[in-house]
Amino acid sequence: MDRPTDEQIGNWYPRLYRTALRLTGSPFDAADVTQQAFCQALGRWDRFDGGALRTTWLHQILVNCVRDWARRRMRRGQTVDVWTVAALPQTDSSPVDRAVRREEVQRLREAIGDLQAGLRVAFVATVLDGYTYEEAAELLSVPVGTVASRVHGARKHLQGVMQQAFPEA
Amino acid sequence: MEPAEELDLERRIHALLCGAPDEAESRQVLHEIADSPAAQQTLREMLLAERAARAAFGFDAAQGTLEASRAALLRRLKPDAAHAIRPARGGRTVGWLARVAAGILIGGISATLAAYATVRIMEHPSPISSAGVPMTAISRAEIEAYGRVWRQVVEPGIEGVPWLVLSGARGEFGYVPGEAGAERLLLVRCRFVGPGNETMETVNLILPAEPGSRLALPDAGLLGGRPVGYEVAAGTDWAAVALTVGQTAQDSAGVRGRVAIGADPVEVGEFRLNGRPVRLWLQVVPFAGAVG
Repeated sequence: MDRPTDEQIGNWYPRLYRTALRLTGSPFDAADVTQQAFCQALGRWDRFDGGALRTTWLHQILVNCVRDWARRRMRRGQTVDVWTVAALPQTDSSPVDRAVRREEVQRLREAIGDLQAGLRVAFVATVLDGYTYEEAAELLSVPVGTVASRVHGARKHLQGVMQQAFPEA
Repeated sequence: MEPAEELDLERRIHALLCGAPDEAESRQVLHEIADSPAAQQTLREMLLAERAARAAFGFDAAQGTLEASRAALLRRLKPDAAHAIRPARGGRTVGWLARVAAGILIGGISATLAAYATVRIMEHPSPISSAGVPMTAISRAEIEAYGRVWRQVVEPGIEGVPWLVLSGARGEFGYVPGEAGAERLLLVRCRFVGPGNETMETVNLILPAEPGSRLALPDAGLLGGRPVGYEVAAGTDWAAVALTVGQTAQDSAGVRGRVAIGADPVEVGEFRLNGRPVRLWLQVVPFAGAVG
């Protein structure tokens, strides 16, 4: 089977990196883990049997790399929270802006966390991580139409929550 | 729109933003967005949700690390990657689309998205003629497409006349003092051409250009990772253009040229970037003029 082109790797990389970032909570650990996943994948490229989408296969390798990373980390006494996030940007100009921004961010993160599980994982896989609906359907073992309706439902719910919390925004 | 149609449109727009579909499907989705206010609203909501959620989870802050680590991986794979190819034009268009979509969202002009993308699709990829001229004349169809883009950024209630710059990496607009509607417009296209006649970057600038007017943009595009500075001074039947690449006196290079408005593309000069010669081709056309 042909090895991937730069273009394919460049296209797949962001979604795997975002998944790694969400799972590790560190931009640099995410970079290490994603690179490691790609190197492992390229080393066994010929073993891919075509029974799934290539991105789904890459995602599984990435998740295994994250598990290894987490095991190493736990041996050092550090725990891993799957909802850990990277440091938030602090680019707003005033303390008031920063406070408002923090509140919005916190509210949105809570709202995503509070989503019904099916909606949340579909939203996270597609909107946050950037997988297509077809890829997410394979990752979550549900039909594409189910992913579509769940992502739609999640987005509408989050819009409602945010509009209720910040009606002037 | 029926619920099932709406979900399917969301699926297709999301795939477009992921860079997944081929060019035919991308073009089809963009046309549907351009023709439907409901689709534009859907796109706007999807972009807002994506932007807010990714920002809330710190993804924006990590974007630089993502880009750097992706580049590092590709470099690492290079020595044994004889299969490696440069990104195809279609992929680049979609990447550009996603970047511009975010910028447009800030401006609140989601309809412009489709027009921008239409323009990108209409541009001819790397036109190298048999005569070795690396830049074809701007066509009437392109001028009309740019006109649609420009009209999208003329907002009622905003004082001033818009300028608009479109390059492979940027899609931005702003305003200069003046009264919209009465202005003379120019479309200035410059193309940086490498030693093998390959197109390195094309920057298109639409600007109001009354004789004697001048517009300077310090960050009109990117070439070799360096910002492109763009300065245009318009006369009655000519335009003077200065292009620089780089930010400081130590790392900057550039070319100045003066061309007749409405003439065919001409090579105005050459400079070296990272040791490689870069030639600058230029064409300036009146916005409503007959060229091509």
